[in-house]
Amino acid sequence: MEERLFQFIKDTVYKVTGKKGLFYDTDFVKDLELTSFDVMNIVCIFEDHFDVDIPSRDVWKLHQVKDVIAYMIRKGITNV
Amino acid sequence: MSIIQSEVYVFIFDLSKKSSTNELVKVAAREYYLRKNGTAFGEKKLSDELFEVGHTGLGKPYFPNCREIFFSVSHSGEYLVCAVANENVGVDIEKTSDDTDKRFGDLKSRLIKIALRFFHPDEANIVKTDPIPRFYEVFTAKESYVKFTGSGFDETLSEHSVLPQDGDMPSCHSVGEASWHADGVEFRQIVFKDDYTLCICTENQSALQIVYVDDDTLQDVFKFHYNI
Repeated sequence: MEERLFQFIKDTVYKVTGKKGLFYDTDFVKDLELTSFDVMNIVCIFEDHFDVDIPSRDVWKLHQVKDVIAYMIRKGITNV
Repeated sequence: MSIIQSEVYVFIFDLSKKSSTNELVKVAAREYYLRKNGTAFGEKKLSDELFEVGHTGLGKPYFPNCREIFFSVSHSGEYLVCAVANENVGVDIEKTSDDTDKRFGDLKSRLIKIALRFFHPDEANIVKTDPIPRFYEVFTAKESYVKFTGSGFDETLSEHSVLPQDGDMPSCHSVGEASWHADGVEFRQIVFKDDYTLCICTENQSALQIVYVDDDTLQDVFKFHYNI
């Protein structure tokens, strides 16, 4: 499951920004230099795809790829 | 009658030469300092340590060795922007996507969805009226505001509006340049190179000096200051 979520994150980041080279501890801002607009796009894609709500108070705390994976698993996501 | 109390220099750099952000910030700060003291672009050397960049606990950049100069940085597409002033300042530049950008399906729908999801309801209503230009106008205003405050985007993003009190936010895409007062700050917004929206946020009404630094000029400055 983690691997599939990781792949989905990679694909989504590439779709939105054209950036590659993600690892589990990649920081979205420090390493990938994602802008706020990039983050908003990615969040909307996630919410649409998984049919979940990701509160804003949670969005800005998810700094690394592994944070997102853990968060989505806690959200009960079982299928990608 | 409004009184312009300060002057903001907005340096716009072409990113094609891949200079680092800190290098460009130093160039901008040097040139602001020299211009305010009456010398022309790149004429006088200043100590490299004067414009070393530090960051607050929330990540807002500043010059620890030159507290009287404030700055803010943004980049999008081919350009990096550095706004420099003698008062606190926030800046944002965004490349305006157009309908040919198929990454997100229907762009207008995507922008409205993001606005409904992240913006204040009044701001989202503005975006709905004409999504492609208005989204970027509202977004750059919000981004310049959070850079001005140093707070960054957080969960209060949708609770705070950057619209003027009467809700009638002028459109820089309609008239070329727009300015308005909201929530104790001043916004100045322009269209750059037809497809970039740029917004500056300050506490006081400010005169705006736009300085486009092309590659040749930048290389001359680097040679002068760094012997590169």
